[in-house]
Parts: sequence; structure tokens; C-alpha cells
Amino acid sequence: MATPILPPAIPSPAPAPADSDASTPRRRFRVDPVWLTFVVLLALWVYSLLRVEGFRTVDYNLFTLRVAAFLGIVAAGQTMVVLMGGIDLSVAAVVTMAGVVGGNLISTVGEAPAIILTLLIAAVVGAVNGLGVVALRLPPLVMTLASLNVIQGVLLVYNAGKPVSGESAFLGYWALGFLLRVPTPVWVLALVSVVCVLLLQRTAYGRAVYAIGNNPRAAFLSGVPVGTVQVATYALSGLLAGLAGLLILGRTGYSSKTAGDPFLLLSIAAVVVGGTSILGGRGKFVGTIGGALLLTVLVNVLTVENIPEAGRMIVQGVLILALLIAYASTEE
Amino acid sequence: MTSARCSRRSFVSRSAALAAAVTAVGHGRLTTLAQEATPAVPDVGPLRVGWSTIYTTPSWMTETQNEIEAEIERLRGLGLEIEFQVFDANGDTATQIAQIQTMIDQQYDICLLIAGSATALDQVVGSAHEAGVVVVNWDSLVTTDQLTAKVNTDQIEWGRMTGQWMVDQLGGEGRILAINGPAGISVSEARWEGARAVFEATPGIEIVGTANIEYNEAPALTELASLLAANPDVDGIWCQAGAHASAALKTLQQMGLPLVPITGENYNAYLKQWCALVPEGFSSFATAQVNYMAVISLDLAIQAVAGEPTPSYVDVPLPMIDDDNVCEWADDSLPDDWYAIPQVPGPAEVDQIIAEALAAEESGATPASA
Repeated sequence: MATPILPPAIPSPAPAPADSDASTPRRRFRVDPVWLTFVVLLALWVYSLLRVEGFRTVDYNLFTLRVAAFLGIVAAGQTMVVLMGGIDLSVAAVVTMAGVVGGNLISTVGEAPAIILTLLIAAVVGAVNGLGVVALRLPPLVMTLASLNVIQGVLLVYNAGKPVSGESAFLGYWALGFLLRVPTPVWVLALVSVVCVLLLQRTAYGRAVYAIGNNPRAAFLSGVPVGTVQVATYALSGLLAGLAGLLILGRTGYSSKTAGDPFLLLSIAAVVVGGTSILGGRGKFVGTIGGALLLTVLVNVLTVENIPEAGRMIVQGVLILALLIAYASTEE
Repeated sequence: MTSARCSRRSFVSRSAALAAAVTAVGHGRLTTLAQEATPAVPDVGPLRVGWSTIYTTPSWMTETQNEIEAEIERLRGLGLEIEFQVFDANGDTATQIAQIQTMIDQQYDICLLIAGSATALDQVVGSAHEAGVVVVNWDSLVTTDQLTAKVNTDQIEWGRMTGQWMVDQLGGEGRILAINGPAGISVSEARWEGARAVFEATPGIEIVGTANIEYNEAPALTELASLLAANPDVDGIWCQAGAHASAALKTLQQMGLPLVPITGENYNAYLKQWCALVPEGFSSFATAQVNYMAVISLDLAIQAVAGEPTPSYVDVPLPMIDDDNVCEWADDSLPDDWYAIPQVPGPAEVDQIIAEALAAEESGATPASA
């Protein structure tokens, strides 16, 4: 195991200035960003129902949940990494890689071994990211950006750049099917969410993630195995991106070398829109689920508005910015 | 000057060319090369060839690279010494400018170019031209004419012909969705310009929804579901790209809506679905941004290095894929994420395309550049 790095000392925050008027302490209205996320999501959803008749069907709303689930699975891993003070830009490439490698393996070694192998490869890619951050002391942004490029390069030579597809009834079911009238990817996201929430709230690992995100040096000095936790968290992010890649393979029915591209920024956006601090240490997993849903509903609403694409992009950007400003204003 | 570096070499015999052509078929070019007369290659010295592309990741680019490399192998088999280098700008125009400058500094003979920006590369392309580098640009074009040649299909015509098919299919009346590529991309804008002109000239056509979607099926599935939920009674879906058409067809099926006419592209996933649905009455129309423009560009560039007269613009015809021939285009042996082309022109046909463009240009039948 690589020797854990002693993070640089962080100067102690300056003592808070004494309140100018202790008898009338300033009251600050504080709202949990997660609540704000869900309030905006609800408002947007209600608006969409009022605005578009076709959105008022159960089927359409189940479809929206299905789409949000793919993003939610990728964003789940991203959340763990961001909470730890890192970032994973390689998720887009891992999603693509899982589809391309998984499709090829399904056609060669069969469904079950292909799925297991693909998930294993995705987790290893994530672990390599973690090792780069821990052992090589590379900033997460640089390490995962490099991984993204390396994976894209490898996919260009893998099987001569031809993304062979493999038929998989199993993946098709878990991408397009229903279980108890709920879209199957939603069940997958639910399972992922339960595991992540339990990890974050009920285990030493979860406490370590928050501790590293808050102050890696303090975490290290407190005995937290910083390096191990970082490698494990990046591996988890890779694993979940790989899982999403396989489900997208099931959704479209074929491997594509651009399948993961939309997740590069969307996964990070879902995390921060969900109220998690991009600097780490603060945030709740459930916020990311709200963020993924909010972004999906927002895209749906903007798609059917008859405004030019430029206007849609501006509205999307301004809404995200407004949310982040609102979150910042609720912080001390 | 490039020509100063040329060395003397006799033309290679036709039998050697034929052997190399067969090798090219072995490298995946589905042609009738062995049956046609293979022209001799120009008498040029060792060549340094660089391909500057805005990115290499999408399958269309991989196919294009395969085409270039197969052609270079063929030419090497004929005795030409060619050093080939790919310069991938990874989507960054500034990187592409720097890479073209590197080609100038390292005295490349040929710069093959797929531009990441219509205008940002103009200056460096002009510099390359002035420095004696033969620059041939295809697919995504630069604005400047300070280069050796441009090669392309007519993207406005692409939009016009697919739009006209949609209008004809609907008898001039109907509500349609229009699905474009990313906003601001020149290819996307040109295709839409052509289609929009047709739709606007047809009073009975109502565009009830539009979207700009990257050329990627997964996001297209999402946005089409929203558009079709809002407009379930559309009569047709005009798509300018294959991934969009594939997503449109799947979304109609998943939502249980009638399979209305769709336009598309030679994207294999779409062609295979379309071919399977023809017996059920589904009708579509598509065309292709043919990858062999790369071969035309390379051969034209080598002719230019040899000092032969070359056209400044080669207009490559757009193929037409319809219900009658779609199953000839759909190729089960190729990946779904691939652009199927059943027949690639051989060397003689490529030379003929270039010669015809030159003759048309000299006679004033076509503009010197487009």
C-alpha cells in the first residue's frame, strides 16, 4: 500500500468576530440545500405538468424516472468522490468503455462473465485513478482527465476502433423493463442509493469520506486511512460508471463510442445542484438524486419549449447558477 | 517548396498496383478494385502527410482514419514513401491551430484537414498554404480559400433533399418534428438551412417541435420522448443524423405510436432497424457523408504535390438510400455504431471524380470553391 500522504497544513480559521450586538444576535434564515433542490424540482415538475398535456401521463413520468436513474447511478459515484474533496472526470469515458468492452465481451465470453468482467475493469480503472491521486500525488482533476484521455485512446485501438455490440436480454431488461410497474433502472438506482447512504451514514468509511473532504490533514492525523479510502472511493465511482455504461448498452441495444459523453458534466452538475459542496465535506447523498431528477425534468421542459437552442442553454445555465448562489447564501 | 523535395522515380507497373489494390480490399475497403484499371501514382518523393482533425473518437472519424490508412498502405504498395501522422485536437480549436503550425514548422508536404472551426483556423491554414504545404480540407470546412482544395458533399442539399422527401411523403401537409445536431456546428446549421427552406416554402407543413441534440443516441432518446409526449400526433420526424433517426424510431416503438416517416443517415443501427421494418410499411429516406472523401482528398493532395493541375473544390455526390435499397446498405457484419457504405470508389473512380471536378471548374460549370 502506498504511504499515505500528509496533506498540507490548513491554517486555522480566524476566530469569528465578536457580534457587535450580543443582545440582539443576528438571525440568519438557513435552509438545507437538499430541501431547496426538491422544492425547485417540485415547482419545475408541476410547471411541466401544467405546460404540456402529454407530460401528465403516468407512463411519461415513469420514463422520466428511468432517464434520471441512468444519470443518478453515475452521479452516485461522483457524489462519493466529491464529498471526499475529489472529482472524477473519467466517468464519461468509463461509461463508454463499459458499453464497448461489455458489448464485445458479451459476444465472445457470454453474458454473465462479460458483465462481471466489465464491472471489474471499471472498478480497476477507478482504483487506478485513486492510486494516481494517492501515490503519485496528482490532483484529482489532472489524474481523472488523463484517465479519460487514455481510455478514449485505448477504445480507438480496441478491436480496431469498431465497437462490437452484444445482445443481452439481461441488460435489456434492467435498462428497459419494469418490476412491480416501476422502471427497472429505478430499482438499480434505489439499491445503489441504499448502499451509498448506509456506507456514508453507518460506517467508518462514510465518516472517513466526510472527514477527508473537510480536512484531509486532520483526517490523517486522526488515524483515518486516507489513501485506502481515496482508492476505494474512486474504485466505487468507476464501478458505478461501469454499471451505468452497461445499462445504457441495454437501453440503446448497441455499443457506441460516444455513449458516455453527456455524463462528463451532467454527473458533476447533478452532485452540486443536489447541494453537495464541490470543495467536499458537505452534502447529502439524497440531494444528488434530487439533482439528477431536477436536471432531467429541466431538459424535458426546455426541449418542448419553442425557444431557440441558445435560449434553452441560457435558461439551463442561469437556473443552475441561481441554485448554487441560493445554496451559498444559506451557508455560514 | 515541396516540389524541391521530390525525387525521381519511375511509375510503378500496373500489376503491382493491382496487387496493392487487392491488399487494400483485405484491409477492409469494400471495393471492386481488382476489376478496374488502377491508375499509376504520381512521381513524388518521400512524403510527410499529417491529418489534422478536431477529434478522432466518433466512429465516423475512426472509419475515416481507416480509409486514409488503407489508401496510404495501397500507395506504399505502389512504391510511394509516405510518413503519416494523425494530429487529434481533442475538440479544442486552439490545439488544432497549434498542431497545424507544427506541421508547417516541421515542413510537412501535405496537411489533410477536418476543421474544428469554420473561421478560427483561417489564418494558420493560410500560413500553411503560403509555406508550401498542400492543404486539403473536407467534411467540416474552413472559410478561407487560401488552401489547395476543399472536398465535400453539399450539406445544404442534404437538408433540402431529405426535407423534400418528407414533404412529398406527407403530400405537402402535416405536423413534423425537426431534429438537428448541436447548435452552432456548421454541418448541422447547413443541413437545417436546406431543410427549413423547403418546409417554409410548403404552407401545409407545420414544425411543431425542434431540438438540437448531439450526434448520440442516448440523449436523443430522452429528448425525443419529451417531444413525442408533447406532440404524439406528429406526421413525420425530420432528422439530420442517423443516431437521431435511430432514437426517433425506437421512441415511436416504445411509446406505441404509429411509425411515421423519418429521415436519417447511413448509420448502421438505423439502417438495420429500417430494413427490418420495410415489410411492415415503415418508410424512410437517408443519405450519407461518405468517408471516402478522405481518399479523394489524399489522392488530390498527392497530385498537387506532383505539380499536376487540381480542382479547388470537389463536390462529392450525396447517395440516396430509400426503402428499395436500404437492405443493401444495412450491413450485419459491421458494428451498429458505424456508417455503412456498400461500395467505395476504387482509385480509378477517385481519379475520375477529381478530373471531373477540375474539368467542370475549368469550363466554369461550378464555382472554384464552395
